[in-house]
Amino acid sequence: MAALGGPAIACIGIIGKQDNPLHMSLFPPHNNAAGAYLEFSFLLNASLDIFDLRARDKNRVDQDLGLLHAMDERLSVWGWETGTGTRFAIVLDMYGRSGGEGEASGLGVKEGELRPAFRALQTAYIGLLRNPFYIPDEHTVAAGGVQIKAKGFIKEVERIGMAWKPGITTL
Amino acid sequence: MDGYPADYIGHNLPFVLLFGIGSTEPKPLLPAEKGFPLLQEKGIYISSELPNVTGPAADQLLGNFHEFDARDASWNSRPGKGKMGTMGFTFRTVGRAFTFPPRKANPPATATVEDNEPNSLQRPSSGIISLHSPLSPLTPESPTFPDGIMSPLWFSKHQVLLPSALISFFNFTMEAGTSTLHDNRLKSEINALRTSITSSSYKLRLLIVLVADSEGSEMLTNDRLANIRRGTNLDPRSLFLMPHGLSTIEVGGFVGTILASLQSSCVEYYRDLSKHARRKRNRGTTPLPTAPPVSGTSQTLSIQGWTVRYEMKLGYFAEFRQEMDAAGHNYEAAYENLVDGEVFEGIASWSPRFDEARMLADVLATRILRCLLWTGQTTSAAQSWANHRWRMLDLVDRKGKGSATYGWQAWEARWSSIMAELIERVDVPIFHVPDHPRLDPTQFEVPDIYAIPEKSFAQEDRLPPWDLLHHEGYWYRRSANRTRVRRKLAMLMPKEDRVEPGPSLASTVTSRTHVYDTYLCPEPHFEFALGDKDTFDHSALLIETVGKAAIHFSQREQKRAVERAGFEIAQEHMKSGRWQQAWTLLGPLWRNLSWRKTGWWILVEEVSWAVRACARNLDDGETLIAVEWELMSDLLTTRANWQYNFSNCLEGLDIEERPHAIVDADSLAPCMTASFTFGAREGHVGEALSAQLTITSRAQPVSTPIQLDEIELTFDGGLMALSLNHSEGAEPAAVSGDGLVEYFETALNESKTSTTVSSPTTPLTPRSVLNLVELTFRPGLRKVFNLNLVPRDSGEVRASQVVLSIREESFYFDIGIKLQEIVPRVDWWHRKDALLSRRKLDLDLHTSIAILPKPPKLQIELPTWRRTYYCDELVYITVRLRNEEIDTADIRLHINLSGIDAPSLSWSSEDADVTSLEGRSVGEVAPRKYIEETVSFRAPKEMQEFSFEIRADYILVSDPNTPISKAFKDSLQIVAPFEANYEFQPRIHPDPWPNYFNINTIDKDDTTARGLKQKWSHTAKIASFATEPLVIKSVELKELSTKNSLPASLTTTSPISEHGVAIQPNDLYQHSFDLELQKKSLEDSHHITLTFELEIIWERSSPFPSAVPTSTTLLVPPLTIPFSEPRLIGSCAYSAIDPSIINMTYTLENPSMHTLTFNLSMEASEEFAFSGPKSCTTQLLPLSRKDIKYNLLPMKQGIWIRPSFKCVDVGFGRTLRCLAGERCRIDRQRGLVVWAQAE
Repeated sequence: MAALGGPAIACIGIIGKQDNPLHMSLFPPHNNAAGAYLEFSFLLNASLDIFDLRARDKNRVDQDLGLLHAMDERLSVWGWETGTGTRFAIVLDMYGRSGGEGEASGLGVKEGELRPAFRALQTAYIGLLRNPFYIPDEHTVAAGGVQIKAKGFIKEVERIGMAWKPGITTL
Repeated sequence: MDGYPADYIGHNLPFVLLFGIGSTEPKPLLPAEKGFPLLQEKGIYISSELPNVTGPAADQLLGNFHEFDARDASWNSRPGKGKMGTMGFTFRTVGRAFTFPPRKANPPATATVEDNEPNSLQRPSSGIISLHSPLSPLTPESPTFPDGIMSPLWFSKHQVLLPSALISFFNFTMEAGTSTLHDNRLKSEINALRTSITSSSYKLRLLIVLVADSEGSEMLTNDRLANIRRGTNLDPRSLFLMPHGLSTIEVGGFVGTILASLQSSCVEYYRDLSKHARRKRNRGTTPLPTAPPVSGTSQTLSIQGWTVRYEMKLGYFAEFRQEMDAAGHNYEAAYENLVDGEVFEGIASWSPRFDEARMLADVLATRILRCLLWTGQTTSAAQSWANHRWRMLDLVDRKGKGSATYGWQAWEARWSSIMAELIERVDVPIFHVPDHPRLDPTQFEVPDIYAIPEKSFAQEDRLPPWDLLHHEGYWYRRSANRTRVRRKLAMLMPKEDRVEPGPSLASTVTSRTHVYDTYLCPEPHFEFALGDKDTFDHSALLIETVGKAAIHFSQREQKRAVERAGFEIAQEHMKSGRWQQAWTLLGPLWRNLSWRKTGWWILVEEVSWAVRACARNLDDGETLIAVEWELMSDLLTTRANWQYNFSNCLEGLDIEERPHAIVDADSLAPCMTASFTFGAREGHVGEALSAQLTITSRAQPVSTPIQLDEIELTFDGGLMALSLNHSEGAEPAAVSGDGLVEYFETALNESKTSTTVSSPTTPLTPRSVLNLVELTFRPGLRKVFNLNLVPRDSGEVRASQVVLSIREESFYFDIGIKLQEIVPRVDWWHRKDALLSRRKLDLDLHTSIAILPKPPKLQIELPTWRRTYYCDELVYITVRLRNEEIDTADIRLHINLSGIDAPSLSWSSEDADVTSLEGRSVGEVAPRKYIEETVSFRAPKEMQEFSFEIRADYILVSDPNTPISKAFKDSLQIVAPFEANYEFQPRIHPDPWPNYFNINTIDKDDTTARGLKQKWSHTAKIASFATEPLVIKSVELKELSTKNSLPASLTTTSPISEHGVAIQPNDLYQHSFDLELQKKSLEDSHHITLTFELEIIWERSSPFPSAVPTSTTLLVPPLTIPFSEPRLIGSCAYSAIDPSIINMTYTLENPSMHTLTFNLSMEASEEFAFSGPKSCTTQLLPLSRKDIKYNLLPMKQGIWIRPSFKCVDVGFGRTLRCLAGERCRIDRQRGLVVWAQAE
């Protein structure tokens, strides 16, 4: 039941130090929806406001920022900020993979439940940075803000997005 | 909340009627009074004949009462506007007449008819008609009759018609003459008022406030008041007198006292009403109607319906008492009964009662939310909100017209807005925004986006994120999104449904009502009217809602969300064709778009296309040019089937003047980028600098090439601006293999200074103009311009900006690209014939360069320079000044040697003048010629380090005003060339000693020395510490002093040839001397002390100007020689017959005046065999010596062997130390050793 109707990841966004989008993956049922890419771009961009607000808290040590905000009863954005200022955002769809409101399990998400997904993302990102063919400078805004094209990394992000479900402890 | 009657949904405060005060003008009837005349017609009328209390005092009093009116206060228990420490009230001011609503409705006029009704309910047999409130579902005239649950009118009744207290105001005269009459009149009026209120059977409280018209005696007044009280049977707390001439604050205090005394009775009043309702609820039966229903359905309100009604009333009255917890429970009970029970199920969806019940459900849900938010239960509120939405969705899908209608979306939007408005109105503490702006955002705590769950929720609860109550902006945005869906659904309606129905189309209307949900929203023909008929303005609703959301986002510094909201509003304006309004919003947004600065191109392009549409519709040429340029950028998505041609961007625009757009590249997505870098970090005035300017096209791949007319490069600092002009057909010097890079070389001599103005915007500045370049850019093409720039002034120079200009027939376009200070990863292009190659430059090469002053071309050379000189040396340094300037130079030379005890320099030329060393003029030197000067100094005896500086100040004869200076500085070391070790060994003096038994008598006149003679060998081991080969010319041992002896006679045993001895660096040279010493007399037994110094005369071996041999003196440590002690000297010789045999001779000397006995022994050793005495005893006479000889045969050759010969002075019991004589040496550990040489 939870696999179908429980909350599922709708979108994963990687945002660089200069607030520039580095990567965005969409997941079913959003990946083929018309206008979804634009809508989720808006969503991730607006989440930067909350990242910025949280960054003001100088006492914060945890990289996991928990729930940033919810758009409505369906979509909510969760955040993670690495020590170097790279931001990961995960958009959760409470309607799950089927996308219908009737399918929603009414199941919520506990604080910290997305941590395994964020950890896996961070590991993947560190792996990307260690790749000698990946040059971070090519992705800055000044260089045109090119998105990440590394296939291995994108595949891993997609795997994480599909594999996560509430209660999972490792990814 | 606008969709619901205000009284139905609003918060309730104790209602107090202010009677007989203020202006006498009749007040217009309230909507509730107009809406249901029955409440007026049969009402209980109260009036008074006494005039209204008017005048300034009355106005002041009234004003003070209204300050306690909490109608607009926030919905929470915190003190705020209108509460002033009380629970808050609502006031209504009326004149001298008012009608209370009737308690019971009229009995039905047609009572007799009802008896014949076959389906009527059983009437009481007694035939007594039970009468009910005019609003009760039991009264036939009631809007709820027979099966309605609740009418909003009932809510209005208690809020505007039926007060919990009535305060009646009367004038109180202080005139002595008329007071009695006045008081009597007053008494009768009050009594009449009391009577009519009592007759109404409403238990409202009556208060009398007398307003004194002037000041009077207090005692008299008190008597009068007591009289009135007695005459009207009023208790003291119900009669108040406002003295004359109170200040504003005093009036406020007076009103406060009245209301404080009123508060408890108001609460009591509403508690009574609650009790009444509770009694009726607990009865558990359906009361009988006045008359049974005659029309429509015969259905009456079910028992559940009645429970809903009573619970609702209970909650309602509790809310009046501000008991929000209790109110919440009652409302929840009412809601559960309404939605869960059979109440809804029993209502047909086509019936108007269905929508009434929906409204009641909405109102109840809203009131529940208010109670929850009031008590700080934010998450419960969010859950309650979602619960109601679910229930309604389920209901609409099951019983209503489904949730796929615009009507449902309209309700969704409204339900979201209601939540937002409630949060606003309740002013939830966590979302409270301070009134003053945040001056320094870091000093305030971070604004909250959502509330954390209240304590009743455990932390590990799995809460849906939306259950954490978000601030109002999110709710408004959700509402706006639903309105958007509503519009979409409305637009999908078939055309025939959108026609306004005529009277003949009744059937159509009926069919529509089966399809469209029109609960609180317009009919289809108004929702989205066909043609230009009056229609619902979705845009206006959206703009309003999004605008409200934006306010809340901006209060929480969510600037990106605000940007998006602004963009959405602009889009709505565009949809409605309000281009100017759209542009007012879009313009500033587009210019400062944060999305562009952070590279969210997909969002940027949305705005850019919108801006383009605006600019086209407003005929704004300049904006259109700029936005078309942005849209050309390949960072934005390529629009399919779009003609990307920048030169045609104004096509179809209606403009008269040729527009000239001047834009800053930072405010647009890049369609062309520029980078610039100098080839070095330093340069000199007047010397060409190499630099490269790169312009890259980032235009859409499908676009038409862009032809620039001019590229202008400007600098901060001493470089002239540079202008590259397009020249048709100019060929690049080289093109890369893929054709994407074109390389142009522009030599210095091609440029010429020009002051022509090619761009109307640039001021008249001198600039270099280059013409031989081609400036047409295909998409993706990169043009590299290799530049040679000649700086005119020294200082920091920075390339600041590149301006690209296009001069089309229809427009002018200039875009300024600011060059970045540090250029990441720049390529430097090289051309080799037609081949291009590139290399990555160091990351720290920038757009700036340091220009140094013109460099001196006078060369200082030191042909004889060595960094190391030697102690005592006379040093000559030659300075050669070579003029490499193009002109004759007049030179002054400064040479300085600095350091501790630096020796003074002297010129070695003939006119040497030691004192004028500073600034010696050396005269003029022609170009390419040189002049030499030599200085000399005597190096000190000790090692030292000096600093040697040369400065040549000169002027060129052609330019005497520009002094030029060239300097040289180096350190100069003075080191000792030699060090020496010394070896001092005894030898056997060949002369015989005097015979002790035959010593010549001493003749006083005879000065001939008769003392013993000794011979010593002195060897100096001289080590060269020089860094180069030196030649030692001679080595002398100089006796400085001799004590207790005749001066020593010195002969060298290693003479040096005339050419001297060459000694390499780190080499050793041994020089030996023989010393003969003689005492003056035999009797002198003192030690001899000798002091020497070693003088080495040397010169450098390499040719050196005016080389003079240098004398270096080394001190020899003092030598002490005991002369009267017996001594043993071992010396050896190698046998002439067999060289491996060593002839060892031990010479024992006794220079004393005593006979000494020695025990001698030679120990056997594995190293050698020997012949000679193994052990013997010998006696030495005074002044005698003796040789003991051994022949040693070494067992091994090529080693040092140690003959252990022992000689013990028997008399003193002392072993004599054996000294090393010829061919022997003393080993520090082993004693005397001899060399066993190989055969």
